[in-house]
Amino acid sequence: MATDHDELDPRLREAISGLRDREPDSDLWPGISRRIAPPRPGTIQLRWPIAAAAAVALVAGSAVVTRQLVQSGPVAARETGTPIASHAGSVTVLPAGFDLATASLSDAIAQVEDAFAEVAPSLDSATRASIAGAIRTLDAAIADASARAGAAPDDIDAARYLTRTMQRKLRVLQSVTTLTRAT
Amino acid sequence: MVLPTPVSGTPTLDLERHLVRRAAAGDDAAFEGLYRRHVARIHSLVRRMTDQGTADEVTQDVFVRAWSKLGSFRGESAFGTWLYRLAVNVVLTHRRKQKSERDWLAGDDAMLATVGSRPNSPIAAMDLEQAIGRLPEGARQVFVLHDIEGWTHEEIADQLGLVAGTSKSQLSRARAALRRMLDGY
Repeated sequence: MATDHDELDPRLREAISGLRDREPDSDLWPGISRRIAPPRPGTIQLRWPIAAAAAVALVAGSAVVTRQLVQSGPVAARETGTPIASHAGSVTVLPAGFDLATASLSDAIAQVEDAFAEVAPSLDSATRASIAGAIRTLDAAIADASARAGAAPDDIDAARYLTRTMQRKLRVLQSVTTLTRAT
Repeated sequence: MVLPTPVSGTPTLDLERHLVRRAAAGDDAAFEGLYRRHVARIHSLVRRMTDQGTADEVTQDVFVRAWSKLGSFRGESAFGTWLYRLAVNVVLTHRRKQKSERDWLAGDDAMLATVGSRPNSPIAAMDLEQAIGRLPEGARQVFVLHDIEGWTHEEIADQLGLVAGTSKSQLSRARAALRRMLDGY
């Protein structure tokens, strides 16, 4: 029987030391993303220019909605909330159901909203109206998700739903901003 | 994807912990960040232990499984170490679904074609990758885990449900087959 002491050919040993990790030939992430995303009834499918519509929301006031959720929501003073540092350096109490990831998303959304606000004037009024409508829908979904997460702070599914809804808005805003800049 | 704004001087592991925490909370964008950081390592491991034809599918299985098990990751080891172990488990589970141990150990070494290096000349890593891919599955997995990944025969036997002697004989078989393939000219 062979043993562990069989000599490893020096040339083989040298070749092994030269092995390098390499990426797959194609990006596997889209397939993984599809498999880990839970099916959500009523998922909003947006296409340009309707997708572009997603970003004007900040113009229509979605920025106010998002920031209110984080900075001064109706449940902001709950003792179950998580204290975090706000933009200005002061301490803000997050509503129950929010965590640092959610706060980070809110910051990102606010930043992209600012970016979109700069490019939005170049869009025609019909497109802006379309975008504003889409964003209002997303904001309503976020408000609903926030209420659910706040009502059940230990409900992981509710927290995930909130995170995913905010991610959806963030992606829409990013897409619309990018597309607007490119046109 | 959107990553948190980098903080100057933030150690890589801190960012990784941040991504793991966010992914465990359901943030798939953070999980994509983890995928990007580890896919080359995991895909290379999977490709060497299985074959090019199924490596993509099994790699996807690894990350889907990781997503579903993130809640059980306690941070006692590095995320990469945890993911690597998970990948080995997924590969072996895939193998068990496909064939019996007898099939796994089988394979005609005489049918192995040569790959291309010349005796006494350096072996190119690419030739070695190609040669590994032609090994019978059992010999290939033991060779990868022992000679490339540094596992002991006891660890391999425990993980693969074999006795250590079988692991040793498969390793010897793999090395001999590789020498024949690589010195074929």
